Amino acid sequence: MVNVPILHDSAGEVSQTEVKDWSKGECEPIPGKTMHDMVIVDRDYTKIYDKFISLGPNVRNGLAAHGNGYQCADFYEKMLDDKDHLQVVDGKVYPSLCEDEEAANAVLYLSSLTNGELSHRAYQNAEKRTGLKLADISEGAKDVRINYKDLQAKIHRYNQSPVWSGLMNDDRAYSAFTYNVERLVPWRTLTGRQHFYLDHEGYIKFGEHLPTYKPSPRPEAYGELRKSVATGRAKVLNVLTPHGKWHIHSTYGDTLRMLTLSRGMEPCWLSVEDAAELGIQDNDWVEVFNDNGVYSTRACVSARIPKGVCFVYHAVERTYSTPKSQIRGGKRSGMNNSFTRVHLKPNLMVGGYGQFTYHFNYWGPVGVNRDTHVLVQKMEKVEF
Amino acid sequence: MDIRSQISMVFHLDKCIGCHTCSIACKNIWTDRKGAEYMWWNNVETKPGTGYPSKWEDQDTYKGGWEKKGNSISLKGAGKFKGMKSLFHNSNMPVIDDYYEPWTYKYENLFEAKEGDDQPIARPVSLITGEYITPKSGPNWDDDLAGSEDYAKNDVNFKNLSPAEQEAMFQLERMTLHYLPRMCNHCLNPACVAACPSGAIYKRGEDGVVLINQKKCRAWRMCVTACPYKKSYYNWNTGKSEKCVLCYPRLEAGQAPACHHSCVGRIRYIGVMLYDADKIEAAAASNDEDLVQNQLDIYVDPNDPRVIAAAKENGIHDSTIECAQKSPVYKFVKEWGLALPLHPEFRTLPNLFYVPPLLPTMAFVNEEGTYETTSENFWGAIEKSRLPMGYMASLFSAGNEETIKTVLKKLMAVRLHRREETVGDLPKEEAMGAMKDAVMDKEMADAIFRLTSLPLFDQRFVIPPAHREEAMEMLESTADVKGNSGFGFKEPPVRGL
Amino acid sequence: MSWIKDLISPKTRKWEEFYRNRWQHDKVVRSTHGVNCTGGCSWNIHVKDGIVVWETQALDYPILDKTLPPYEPRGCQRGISFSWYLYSPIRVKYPMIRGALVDLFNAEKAKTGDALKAWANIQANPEARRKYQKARGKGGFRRATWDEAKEIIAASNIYTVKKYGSDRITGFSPIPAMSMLSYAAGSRFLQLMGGVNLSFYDWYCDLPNSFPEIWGEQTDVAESADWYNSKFIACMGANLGMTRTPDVHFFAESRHNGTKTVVFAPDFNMVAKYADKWVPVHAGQDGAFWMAVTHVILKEYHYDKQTPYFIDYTKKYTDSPFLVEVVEEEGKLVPGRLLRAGSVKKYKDIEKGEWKFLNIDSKSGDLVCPGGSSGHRWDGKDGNWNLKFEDAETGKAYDPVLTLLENNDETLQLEFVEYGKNNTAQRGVPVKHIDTVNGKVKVTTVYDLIMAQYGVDRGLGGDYPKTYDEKEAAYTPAWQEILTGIGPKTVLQFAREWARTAETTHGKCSIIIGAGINHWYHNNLIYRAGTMALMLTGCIGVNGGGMNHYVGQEKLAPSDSWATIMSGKDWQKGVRLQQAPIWHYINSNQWRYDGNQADYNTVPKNDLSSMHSADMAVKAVRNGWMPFYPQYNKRNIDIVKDAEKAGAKTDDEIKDYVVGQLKKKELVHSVAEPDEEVNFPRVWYIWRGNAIAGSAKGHEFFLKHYLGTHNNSIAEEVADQFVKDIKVRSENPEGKMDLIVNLNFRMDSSALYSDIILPAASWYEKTDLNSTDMHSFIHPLSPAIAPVWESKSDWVIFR
Repeated sequence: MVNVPILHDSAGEVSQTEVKDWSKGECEPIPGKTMHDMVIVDRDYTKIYDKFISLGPNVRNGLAAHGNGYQCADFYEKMLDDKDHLQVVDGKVYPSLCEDEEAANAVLYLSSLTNGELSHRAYQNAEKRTGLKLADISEGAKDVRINYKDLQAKIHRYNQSPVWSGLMNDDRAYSAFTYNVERLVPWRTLTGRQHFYLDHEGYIKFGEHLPTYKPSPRPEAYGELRKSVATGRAKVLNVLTPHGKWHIHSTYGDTLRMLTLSRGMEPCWLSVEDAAELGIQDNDWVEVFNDNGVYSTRACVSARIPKGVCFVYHAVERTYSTPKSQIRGGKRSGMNNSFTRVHLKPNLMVGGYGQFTYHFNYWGPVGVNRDTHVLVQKMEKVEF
Repeated sequence: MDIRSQISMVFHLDKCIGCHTCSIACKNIWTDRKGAEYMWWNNVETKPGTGYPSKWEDQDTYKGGWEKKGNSISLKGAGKFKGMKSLFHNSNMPVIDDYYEPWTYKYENLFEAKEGDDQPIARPVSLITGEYITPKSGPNWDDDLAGSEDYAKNDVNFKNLSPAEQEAMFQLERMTLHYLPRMCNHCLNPACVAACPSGAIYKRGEDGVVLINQKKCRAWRMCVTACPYKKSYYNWNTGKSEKCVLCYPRLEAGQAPACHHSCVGRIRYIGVMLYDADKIEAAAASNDEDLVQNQLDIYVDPNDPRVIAAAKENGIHDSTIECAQKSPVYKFVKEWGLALPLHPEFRTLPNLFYVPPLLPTMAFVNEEGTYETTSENFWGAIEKSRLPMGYMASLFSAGNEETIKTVLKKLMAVRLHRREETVGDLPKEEAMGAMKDAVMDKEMADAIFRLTSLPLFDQRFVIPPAHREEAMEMLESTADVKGNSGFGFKEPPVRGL
Repeated sequence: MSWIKDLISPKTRKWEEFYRNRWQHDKVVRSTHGVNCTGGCSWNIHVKDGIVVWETQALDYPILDKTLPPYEPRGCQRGISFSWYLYSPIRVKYPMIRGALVDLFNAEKAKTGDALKAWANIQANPEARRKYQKARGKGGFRRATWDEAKEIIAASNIYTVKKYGSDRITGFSPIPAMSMLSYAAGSRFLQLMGGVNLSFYDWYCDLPNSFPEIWGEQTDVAESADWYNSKFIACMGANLGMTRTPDVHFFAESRHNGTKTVVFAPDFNMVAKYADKWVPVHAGQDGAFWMAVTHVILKEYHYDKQTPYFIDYTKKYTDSPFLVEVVEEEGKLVPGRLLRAGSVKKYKDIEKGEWKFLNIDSKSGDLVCPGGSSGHRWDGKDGNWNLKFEDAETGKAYDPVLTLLENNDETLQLEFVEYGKNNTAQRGVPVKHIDTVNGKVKVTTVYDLIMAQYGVDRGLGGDYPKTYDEKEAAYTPAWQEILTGIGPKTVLQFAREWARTAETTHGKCSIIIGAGINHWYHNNLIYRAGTMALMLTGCIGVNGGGMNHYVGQEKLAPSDSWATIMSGKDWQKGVRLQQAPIWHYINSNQWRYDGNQADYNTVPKNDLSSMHSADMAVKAVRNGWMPFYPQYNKRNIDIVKDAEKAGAKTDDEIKDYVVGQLKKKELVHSVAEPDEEVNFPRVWYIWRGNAIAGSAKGHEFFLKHYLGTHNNSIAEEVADQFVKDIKVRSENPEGKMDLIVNLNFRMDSSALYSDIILPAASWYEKTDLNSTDMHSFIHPLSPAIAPVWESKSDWVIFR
């Protein structure tokens, strides 16, 4: 039994006009309406490998994304004509996904982005849904088929498709929502228009129905400095963790190239004023900490940093150059996420209502970290 | 008239990202080996800053380049003749602290550490001694104003600014930075060539690339001192000095140098310049204020029939002359007067020209103590640019602020013209006035715009065919070379090669 | 100049072969980097003697419109460093297993002769379990064979499925677009087995919540070439030089084509260098600046000037003409819900009337029901889901009334709250009376509410600011000054130049925005503040316009076909895709350290807004708003068996049984009792990401509660005083995870803390696909060389 929340781009978008909680007796629990749905699945654990390496038959029912679908059974059948790339499961044949390249080609062959005929079908479907003329968009691309080897040989631009909202005819640059504006296709919202006003009960109760300004949470209320107190040698700063110059998240940051061109580690950038107040010189060792944890690093003092904030560029690795923390009992200090903790914004959890309906990576509270405050102090003893 | 051909470059600093991709493209191919760790044939500096090696611009310390003596010039520091006495002790050489002690990490520890009571760690170790170290400098230690109190504030180019002007550069209202990518300038008057006691350094006839012969070099390191840009490095493993080779193996194959190829800011241009070698000596000995103009006068018009005839006389290939006529560098440097040499006062006549950057306009703090950035006109006047003219003039015009202003006015006039063409919301007379002021017509403004904004790879890099077949033929049949090429043993470079 | 050795002679220059020999290679293969950088750059990998020696950028990008700069070359300092990894000392060459674990396993296996029993015995022995958990991150790795590693992994999977259910097996891998097959490999494996995928875009705080809020879209933005079409770019919270390295040239090049650029950043950063104006707004306060900009735009360009392009756009493409009920709450009049079409007589019988909404036609003054609403999308009838000015129910054309200013029944004073300085204001709003099936209601338009919210005085009485200088009145240029540190003149000049550019070019103003904004707690509000200025000046859905958010490489272009392969939906329905922030908040016990959000979130006081976030999560899961796995405090197979035992025969009967059990509280959602052992997540696969460190918000809590190893947290537990629905056990469990498996090509922090590391093929050693927001191409990853040492591609490993 697989629990499934009420989903965006499905009829689930029109399930809850009001916030009523069945668990509080405010309404009846109705799966898919006032509560999540449940799907009963048969799962044969001895067949997982076989299924993994073959493309299953449900593809015959068509594919979809962002509420835009198309039929592709004929293309699935054509894949079965390719005798060198088949798998047999329980006596039936399926397109093979055994090798990486077979999987790549399956993605490319069956996507509206790389198969022009499927793009065309998707626009035809969109025509039906909207009552608008749209299929002309893909008319010229019907013969496009891009496979993996094509991509290796030359860079290819993909087709436009109603899965995405930008128009790309005539080598035009992709810009979001040009499809909506020029073709009058609605946005996937409650009114179909761009929303100034968010009338969900939760939004009204949280005071976010109209565009507004709210201050950042105050550090004393945020609760990350309850036990870590400034002693005079340390100072409370708002720690910003933007993406850095010498790594992509933590990748590359540990390469000799990037470490050589930077400072050999990810320092804590401090303003000249704050550093002076804390008796910290450029390149000194410092500890950056709060109740959540500690990061021991070196200071980079710079005029380009404003007073009151410090920077530790995002996604430090704790695998190199990190000494033991002095303020937390001599154990290896952590990294920039040592001083973060998740805080969820509750109104981002509402669902079952127009655009406020769950989809994977589409809706829900996010792992905010920018409002974090830390203490920074000079490190007297450096131990590895 | 002694017409020669030179491969020259333009770096459009307004477009420079400061990403250092160029440096790594170079390192991957040329200096990723023992003895070359600290060599950054191409590097990128944050300005203001002290650069690499630290304070390289300060010739009071390093004694690089030439100095004017009456109507002629002589090497400032150690040279072939002047330096004989100091052959065994060259006090003007940068030492390891001016560069940095190259390091790596004990990554193996992460795999090999026995189970303990704390997390294992990869500590930095010196690539020279193998001992644990705490790196305290690197090739880019002052990146993006890092350690600005120690580095940016000691920028050599501040010397002509008042203390108040210097201080203001670090206030919110005026603060700024820009990037300066640097490499060997393949100078017309290279001090390194002049300084080499072994005669190992030469300038190639066909393209002007300056090379250190790895067989002839005897490690005197006079070139290290003599180069005012500090772009010659001593390889402690092979005992030879090395420097940027302008990727001649790539040039010969018709490819742009790796640092140019990889320039993702698309700031780089390369092209042939024809020049009159007879003018070099006088130009190098010009008065400071005339240095830029006199250097530019060395480069001659590749469409001038007399120049073409003289070039052919000197054996310059037709294909090279054609490339010179299509040279993007010629356009930026000569036709449009937008690109300037770096520190012309070093008098080496560098072949790398820079278009100075447009930077944000100055702001001010209002009565309430808050920050305001407003301007009379749409973009703000170039005089209100955050970097003082005196600073830019120190970099690109031997102190001549008018030269810098002229360039920036042109850049701004192009922008105004393009705003007029694409939006048309500014007063018409503004664009017209700016162009008039910059001595520019619409055609020129559009040409500048196109080569600045829209150029394709082949428009940025116009590389003359090397005609290697002709060079090979002088030794053996080119057909034989074809058959023999690549045979032999591959051995790593060793001392005394 | 006799000393210039003007050498032509090839003989004396024979030595030049020295460097020529280096510039030689045997083949060049196209690949890219499967890293979440959003670059998506095509690279040529050079191979010499079977070794990758270096990489250079590919140049063969198709040229788009000739008036745009080309994409070549793409690639940055990081990408060009990648080849270092291949043979570096940080490369994972062989499978590795934590010594403490492998010793226990071998001993148990020797005793029992059975891998599954061995695993069960270890898990049944708390001391043994603690022993290897405490060793996590502390060295002691052993080289293992693939067979040894696979045996332990398989045993742990089977054990978990049998004992607790497959929804205790979880996988994390970020942003599929960067190497979509690698992602799909693990995901397909997990989903076919009934395991759980953790989301990433929201967890990384890269998801801009304002996009779903405003557009119903996860993220959809311009490719970077389109920046060049913009004539006024505001860049905030995005350091283009640093993070959009291969794209920033479009920004720089646009300047030379007459574009104005303004950069907002608290520090003078890399992109500030390209700015015409640098606005060092106080960190996180950009929203206040934009509120004031919009105030000026609304006042001068909407109210005073009624700029035709802006008015037409706003009418046609935004919800502004829609009617909102005015309601009374605690004696105050406030805006309420949208007026539902089904609530008025004219439309009371239409299908899905509660999901269709109303405008007023300016000609007839009648109510109209525009098509295109979610009701029209899901009412089972095709052809009405569009933005035509047509009443979808009657087919009649209409022209909507944007404001009731000229035609209203009365002006009411509504209350508006400004949270920055905590002021409330009563402001006049024009209202019409509408008869509904529930009696007379008072309505206004969204547009009128916006005018009032932003404090644009239209002579309706109430607390409207009279001038731009009123510091306490929301949202004047003077109001924002203390919050942003930026003077009001800057706001005025900015707003006017912005609006003038948008008016002249029909919408070619854009915002480029990034993590610098999106990682704030109130990111959605800051984004909305900026987006308002875009929408009100017609800059959305226009080339050169747009809210261009780039935080994470979320655009998996061929998502239609890929999604099915990734989720195993080609074989079965029912997938377990988990919202990661909630999952980690609950499972890594961070909720126990969290105070009540109402104390740090600025909210009005009411039942919903006073809830602790953990209780809200429980509510969201129960009500079907958010997913949560593990599902229940019982194994799912057993629940179904129980249902069948109780007589359920069909799927619906099983569901009825479960609903009944839930109502009786015989069955409890795991989210409500996360600290019961039965509800722990047990096995965690991590691939393509740094889940334990780089992306672990609350890293120290991961170490403590997931891993059970040393940590440096001293945080206090405080939630018990606030929570009502979630169960707080007196004991705060540590070390919930039985096994952590990491696929990696390098020894990163997550690998270092995992139990088993499997050597993964790197990006120059495998076949895969890559796409991004930044451009409209799909790039291949290719095996320039076979996977080195004992590494394998993720596809092969999961296979």
